Amino acid sequence: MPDVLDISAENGHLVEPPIIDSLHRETARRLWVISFIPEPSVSTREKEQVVIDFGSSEGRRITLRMKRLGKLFGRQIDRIFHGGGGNFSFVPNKGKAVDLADPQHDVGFSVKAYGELTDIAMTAQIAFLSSKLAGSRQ
Amino acid sequence: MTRRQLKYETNRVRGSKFLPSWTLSRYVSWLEQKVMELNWNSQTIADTALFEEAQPVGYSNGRLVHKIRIELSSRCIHAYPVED
Repeated sequence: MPDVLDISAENGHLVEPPIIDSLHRETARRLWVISFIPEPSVSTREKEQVVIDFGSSEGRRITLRMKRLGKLFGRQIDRIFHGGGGNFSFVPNKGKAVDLADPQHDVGFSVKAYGELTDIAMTAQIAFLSSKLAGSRQ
Repeated sequence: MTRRQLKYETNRVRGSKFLPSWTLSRYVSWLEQKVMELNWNSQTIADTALFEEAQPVGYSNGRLVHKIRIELSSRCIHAYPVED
């Protein structure tokens, strides 16, 4: 009998760790401050936190993904908050926050945004693992 | 709500939940006090701290828990119940 994949769906979308819990752009210090829900194999804690320099390889990748999100929303996004399940709020540098669960967004829009969020979360998780590895070597 | 539903609604993806006794004003007052104890300020980029309360504070992964983790990220703070 084949193994059964346990994939939880939220609002019709697949939402699995790693998941961005919050992301903050620290422009003055050139840092990304990210809290994420890790994969169970990475950490048993509910959330982990990582600070990523804009100039690092992970930082450049996140910058690229954030630019793509900015293009999608039509404004630079400075903060992202996970609202539980498949809901995320995007806070632009100017104007009101936008919820991904807003019914005015079509599925294609949400899927594109989730794609960028998933990559950012995975990048943050890799940066977290790298920092733990570096810490254990010292 | 069944035990299974409670576990689902308070899992890592859905987020742990405070008990109703933790009103917004109680949450904010408690958080303000702890942040002062921790000496966190606007220059603190990122940090976390764990506190244990004598009474249960909420549900995490379907379990009644006593601990709260506070998380500071770039001048934004929030706290959530975590498993004992």
